[in-house]
Amino acid sequence: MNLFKIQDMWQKLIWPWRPESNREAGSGIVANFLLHWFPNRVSLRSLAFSASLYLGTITFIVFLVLTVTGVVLMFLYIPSVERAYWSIKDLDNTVSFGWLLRRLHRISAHLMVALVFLHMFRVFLTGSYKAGEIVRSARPFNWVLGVTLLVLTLLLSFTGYLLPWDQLAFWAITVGTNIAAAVPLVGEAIRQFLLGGTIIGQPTLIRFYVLHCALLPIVLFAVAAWHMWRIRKDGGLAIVEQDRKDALAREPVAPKKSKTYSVLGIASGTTVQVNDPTTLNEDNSVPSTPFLIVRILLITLLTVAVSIGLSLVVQAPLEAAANPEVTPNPAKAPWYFLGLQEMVGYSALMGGVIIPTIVILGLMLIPFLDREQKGIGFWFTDGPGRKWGIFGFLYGLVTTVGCLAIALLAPMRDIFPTIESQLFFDLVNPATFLLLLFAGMYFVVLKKTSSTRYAAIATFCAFIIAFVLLTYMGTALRGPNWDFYWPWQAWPTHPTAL
Amino acid sequence: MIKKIPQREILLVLIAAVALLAVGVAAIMYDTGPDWKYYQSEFRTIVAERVANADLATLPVGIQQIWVEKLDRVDRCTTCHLGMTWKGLEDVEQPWTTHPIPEIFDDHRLENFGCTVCHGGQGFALSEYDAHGFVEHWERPLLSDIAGSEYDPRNPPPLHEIQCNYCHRYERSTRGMPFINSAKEFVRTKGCKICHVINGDGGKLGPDLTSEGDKHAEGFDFSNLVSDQITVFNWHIKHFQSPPTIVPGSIMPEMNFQSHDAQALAMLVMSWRDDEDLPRAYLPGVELKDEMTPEEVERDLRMREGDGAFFVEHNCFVCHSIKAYDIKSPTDKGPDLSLAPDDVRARFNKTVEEFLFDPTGTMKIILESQIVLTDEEKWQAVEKIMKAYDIVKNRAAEAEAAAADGS
Amino acid sequence: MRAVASTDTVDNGVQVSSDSGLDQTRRGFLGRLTAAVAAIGALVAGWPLLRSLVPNVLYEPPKRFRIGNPESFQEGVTFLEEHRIFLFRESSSFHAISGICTHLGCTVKFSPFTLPQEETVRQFSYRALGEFHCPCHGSKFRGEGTNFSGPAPRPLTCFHLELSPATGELVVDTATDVPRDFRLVV
Repeated sequence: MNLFKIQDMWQKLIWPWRPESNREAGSGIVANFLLHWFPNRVSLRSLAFSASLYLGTITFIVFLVLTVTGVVLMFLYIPSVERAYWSIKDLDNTVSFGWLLRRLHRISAHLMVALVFLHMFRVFLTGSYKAGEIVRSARPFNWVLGVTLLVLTLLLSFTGYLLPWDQLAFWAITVGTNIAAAVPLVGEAIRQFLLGGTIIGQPTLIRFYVLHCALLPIVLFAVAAWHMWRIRKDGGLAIVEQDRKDALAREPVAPKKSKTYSVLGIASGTTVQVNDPTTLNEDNSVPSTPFLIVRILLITLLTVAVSIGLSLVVQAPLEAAANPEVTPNPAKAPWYFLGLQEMVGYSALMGGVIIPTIVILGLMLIPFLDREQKGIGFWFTDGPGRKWGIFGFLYGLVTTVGCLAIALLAPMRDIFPTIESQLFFDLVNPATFLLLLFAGMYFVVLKKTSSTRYAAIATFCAFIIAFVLLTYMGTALRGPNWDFYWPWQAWPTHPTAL
Repeated sequence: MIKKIPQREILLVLIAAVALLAVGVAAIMYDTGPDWKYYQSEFRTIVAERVANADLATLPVGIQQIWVEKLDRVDRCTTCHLGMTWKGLEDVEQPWTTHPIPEIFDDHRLENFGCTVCHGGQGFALSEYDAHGFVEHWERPLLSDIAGSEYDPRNPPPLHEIQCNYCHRYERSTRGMPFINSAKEFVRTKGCKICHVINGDGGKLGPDLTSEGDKHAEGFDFSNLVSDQITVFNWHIKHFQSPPTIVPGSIMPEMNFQSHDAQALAMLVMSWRDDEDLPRAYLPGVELKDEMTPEEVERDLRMREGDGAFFVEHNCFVCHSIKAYDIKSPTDKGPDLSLAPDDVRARFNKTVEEFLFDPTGTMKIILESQIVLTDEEKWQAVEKIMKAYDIVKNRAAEAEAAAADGS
Repeated sequence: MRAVASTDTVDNGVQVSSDSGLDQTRRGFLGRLTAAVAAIGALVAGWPLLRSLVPNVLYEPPKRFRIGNPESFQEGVTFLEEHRIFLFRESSSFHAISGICTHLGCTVKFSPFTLPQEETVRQFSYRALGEFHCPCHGSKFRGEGTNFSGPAPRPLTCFHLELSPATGELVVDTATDVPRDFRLVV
C-alpha cells in the first residue's frame, strides 16, 4: 500500500504523461496549471521564427535573468553612499562569481533595453498592433501596454545605473536628471522629486534603489503579464489573422459568439476563447505541448547561454568612486539617452522635452492613427510597403546626417550671432529641422499613397535610423568637451595624478 | 492527426543545452583559478624550506584582508605578500619576502594601517595587475620604483614618501623620508610662506597650498606641459623648474631646482591633503592630552616625583592626603596619612605596621582587592608614613616654638 | 522537462508522421539526453547564484586583538564592552572570561560579592569576586564561569591571553579556548 503510494507520488513527480488523443491532450491542458500558460493549439504561422523572431519571448527571459541575478545582488549590495562602491568592488574582487552576477545583470539590462526596442520595431513593421477585421481584437491596446513596458524598462535601467556609485553612474544620472529638468515650469520639481534633494546624495541612492529593486520590477512584471495575457486573449500573434482569413474563406461563417467573460473589466470582446476551432485545425496548427514548449525551452536555453557567454567576455566597467567635486570629461548619460543628450546639446527644450513627448505620444497613438487592416502580421505589409520602408530609411539617413552636419559645421548660434533669445534657438535648431522633415514626409507620403500605413512605415523607418544615428553620435563620436571625434581619432590623453 | 515534433528541433535544444552547460562550466573554471592560490602554495614551500619549526598548518589560507575601519580602507595585499611580517624570509623574492624595513611595523602596526595607506595600489583587488593599480579609473597606483621610474629611470623618486607625509606633515623632519625632508628644508629656506599659505599660515600673494594634494587632475591646465607624462606630478616638477613655462605670466620666481629637488618638492605639495577625516591617533607629534596651566604641571610633577611618590603610584592619595609630602587627596575620604600612627592607635589600638599587615574594616577590603601590596611594599609604606609623621610633628613643634617666641 | 521528453511522441494511434525514420526508443533517448543536459546545464549555471552568497571575506572585528598594557587594568574585574570580555586581574596574574551567555548569546552581567570568597567549584579552588547573571533568561554562572542556575547548557568560555612580544600589551585570542584555571602571569 505504502509502496504503491510512493510509486504514485513518483509518477506524479516525473509526470510521464502520454495523451492518447487530441481531446485528451486538450483536456490535460485545461486541467494543468503549468500547461495553462499556453493555448491548447498554436498556429504554425505564429510558431515560425520569421513571424516574431521571438523578440518578446527573449525580452521576457532576459527580464527573468535580471530578476534572478538582481535578487542575489540585493543580498550583496549595500545601498549607502559610504559602502555602495565598496560592495561593488567586493563583487568584482572577492565574492565568488560576483563578477559574473554583475556582468550578467549589466549585460542583460542593456540587452533588455535593446530588445524592447527591437521587439517594438518588429511589432510595428509587421503591423501587429492592428485589431483585425474578423474578430476585433484589443491589439491596439496591447501596443499601448507595450509602449508602457518600454518606458518602464528605460526607467528600470536608468534607476539601476546609479547604484554602483562610481563616477560613470553619478554623472550619467546627473546629466539624465537634468534632461528631466528641462520640462517647463515643473521640470526642476520633477528633478528634485527624483533626487530627493537638490543634488545626488544618499536620498537619491535609496530612492533609486527602492524603485529599481521593488517598485518598478513589480509594476513591470504586472504589466508584462497583462501584455502576454492579452496576446492569448487576442488569439495569438497577429499573423493568426491570416489563419482566420483562410478559415473564413473555407467556411464563410462568422466565429461563434459565446458568453462575455471579463476579468475585473480588464478583458474585452465577446468570447474567452478567440481561437475558435474553425480557425485552427489539424493542418494549420500544432498542439502547444510539446511544440511551443520545446520552442520556448530552446529560446530560453539559448538566451541564458548567450547572456552568460557575453558576460564571460564583456567586462562591467567601474570607474573611480563617485565624486561630486570632479566632473569627468565627457560626462554622458546611459547610451539609450545619448540620442536625447545629443539633441539637448542643440536645445534643452526641444531635445529634452518636446521631441521625447512627441515620440512617446506618437508611439502610443500609432494604432489609432493607422487603422488600415491589410497585411496584418506580414513584414512591411506588402510589396509597396517594403518600398516605402526603404524610402523612409534612406530619407531618415540623409536628413539625420544632414542635421548632424548642420549641428557640427554651422551651429545656429554662429549663423545668428546677433540673436540672444533662447526661445529662438529652442525653435530653430537641427532637432526641430529633423522633426519637421519627418512630419513633412509623413504627410507627403500620405497624400501620395492615400495610405496611413505606408506613411507610417516610411516615418517609422526614418525614426529608427535617426535614433540609431543620434545614439551612435552621442556614444562614439562625442569626446571631451562634447567635441566631435571621428572613430579613428584618438581622444586627448586623460590626465592622472601620477 | 497529431504531428510529431521534428527531431531537428530537439537537436537544436540539445545544442542550446550543451551551450549553456559549456558557458556554465567556463564561468566556474574562470572563478576557481585565481593567481593568489598559486602564491599561497609557493609560500608554503618556501616556509617549509627556510623556516625551521614552522607549523605549516597555521599558514594563512584563502583571501587575507586587513580592514582598517578608522582609515576606511580594505587591503588584501597580504593574500599574496604573505611574508611581510616574517623573520628569515628577507632574501626571498616578491611577493613572499619580508618587509625591507621590518621595524616600520613597530609603530605602524599592520592591522592599524594596512598597506595601501603608505604604498598606494588597489587594496580591494586580488589579481596582480588590478591590485598594483596601474589600471584605468584607479587613481592611486602602487608607489613603487616602477611608478617612479616613469619620471627618472635611473634614480626613481621614492613616491611612497607622498603617502608618509600625509600623516607626518607637521614634523620638521622624519626618519626614512629623505626626499620630503629635503623639500621641507626648501620650504623653510626658500621662503615659500612669504607668498603661499602652507600648513595654515603664510602670505596671500600666491594660492593657498594647504590642500594642494587634493586638487584633481581635471583641475590642472596641461596645455603648456610638453611631455609624455600628462600627470599632476609631472606638472608640479616642470612647474617648479620653470613656473612661467607651465603657467604663462606666473610671477613665481625660477629657483633653478635640479630635477631631483623638483621631484622632492612635487612630492611634498602632493602630500598636502585635507586631513580632517584622519583620526588624530594617526597624526604623530600631536599631543592627545588635556591642557594644563604651568602651576598644575608643577604640582603634578611634585606629586609624582616628590617624597610621596609612593602613595601616588599606589593610589593611596585617592582617599588620603599626606600633608608632610604636600600631597592633596581629591576626595579626602580617609584621614591624613601623616597622622596615621596616632589615628590607628586611637581607633584600632594597633601600630601602623600591625594594621597594614592585618587590616580591618574598609581597609581590609581595599588592601585585599583593590590595592594589593607586597610585604616589601608594605614595609616601604610604613617607613614613609613614619617619616611623614616625624615631619608633621617637627613642624608642629617648630610652630609651637615660634608661637611661644611670638607671645 | 520530462514532460517535454515524454510527450514528444504523442500518438493517437492513427498515424505516425513521416518526418522521422527513427524508432520510438531512439527518439525517446534524444529527448531524454536533451532533458538531462539541460537540467545539468541549469544546475551548473545556477551554482554561482548560491555560491556567491557564501562570503570569502568578513567585515568583522579580528578574533585576536590587543587590549592594552597589563598595568592599565585595575585590580579585580574589568568588562571590555567592545569585545564582550571580562578581564580579571589578581596583582600580576590575568585571565579572561567571555561575557556571552552560553544559552542564547546575551551579554551576562557581573554581580560582585561585597567581599571576595574562597570557593571550590568542580574541584577547582579559587578566589571568587562574584558571579555572572544573564539578564535574558536568568542563567547564572560562578565566578570562574561554571553554570549553576537557569537554562545555560555550558560554562562561560575562557580565552587565551598572551603578551605581545612587540609592544608588551595583552593579546586576547577569542579563537582559542583555554581551561578555566588558565592564568597569564606577567
